[in-house]
Amino acid sequence: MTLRSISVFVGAREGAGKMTKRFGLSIGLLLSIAALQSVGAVQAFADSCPLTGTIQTLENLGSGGCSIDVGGGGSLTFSNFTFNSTGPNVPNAGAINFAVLNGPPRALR
Amino acid sequence: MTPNGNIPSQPASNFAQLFGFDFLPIVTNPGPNGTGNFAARAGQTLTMTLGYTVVATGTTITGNELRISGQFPVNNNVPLPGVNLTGVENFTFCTAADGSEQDAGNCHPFPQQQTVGLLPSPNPVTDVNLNNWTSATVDKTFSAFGPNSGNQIVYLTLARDGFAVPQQVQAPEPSTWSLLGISLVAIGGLAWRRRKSVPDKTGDA
Repeated sequence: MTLRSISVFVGAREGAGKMTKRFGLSIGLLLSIAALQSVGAVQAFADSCPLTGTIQTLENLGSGGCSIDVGGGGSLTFSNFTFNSTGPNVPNAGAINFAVLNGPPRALR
Repeated sequence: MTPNGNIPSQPASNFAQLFGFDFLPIVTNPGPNGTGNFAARAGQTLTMTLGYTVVATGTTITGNELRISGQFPVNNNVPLPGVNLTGVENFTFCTAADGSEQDAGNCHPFPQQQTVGLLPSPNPVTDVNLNNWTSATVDKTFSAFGPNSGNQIVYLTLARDGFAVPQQVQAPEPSTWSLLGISLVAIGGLAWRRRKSVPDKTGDA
């Protein structure tokens, strides 16, 4: 919408005889966006992973999954979670928590 | 008396950064007779299996850390007979050469199975270097083994699975690139209009 507005604004101030130039500018804008997309500057990412939750939360994400930003424009996308547990009184997926790792690992005892 | 023990001396990670998950079974009242939801009593074995796919975008996977932590009954700092905590992880991985198969993460079995465990000697963490994977499927199993007898309990309190990536150079966000591109085009357009609005020597403007 913004690009179109710019194009219309520029074109509105030109004479009718310069329509070709206006369209040329619009095409230039479109080509610029296409170029940015082709180098990966504009990409669609999965939603960011929740910082905490349960394994059931992750299972519910299905094939779309979620992503963790690793810096530098990169990410890791986690999807298709499955969980199974066996044994007496074993917890289900909704009873085991998680915390995202997204940097220096937390120290443990 | 049989005191409760922790996995001793958790080693530091070999990786400066990890991306993934700490899975944390709930322990509401740790102790030999406490309560927790991943707790193996005498003669019991509890197991959970987790699976998922991980896909790298704008980076690669160069390492993995598998780690467990837990609490268990000991006698003279030795786990009671039958007690153990274990973790096993298997990968199937893809590289850039695998093209469209990356998203499925079902390209090549990784021959090196990752294992961690309390016995025969404490080995709570395994770090492995990987060769620029673009995706992987992960299958892991964590287990808690209760003592052979008595009323003490073995708890699994943490199962970590994190991935390492190459150190990244900070780059502008995608929206910044878009704004920069639009601005450059707009400036170019204004400069073009300004140039055309100035009459040149031939007087055709």
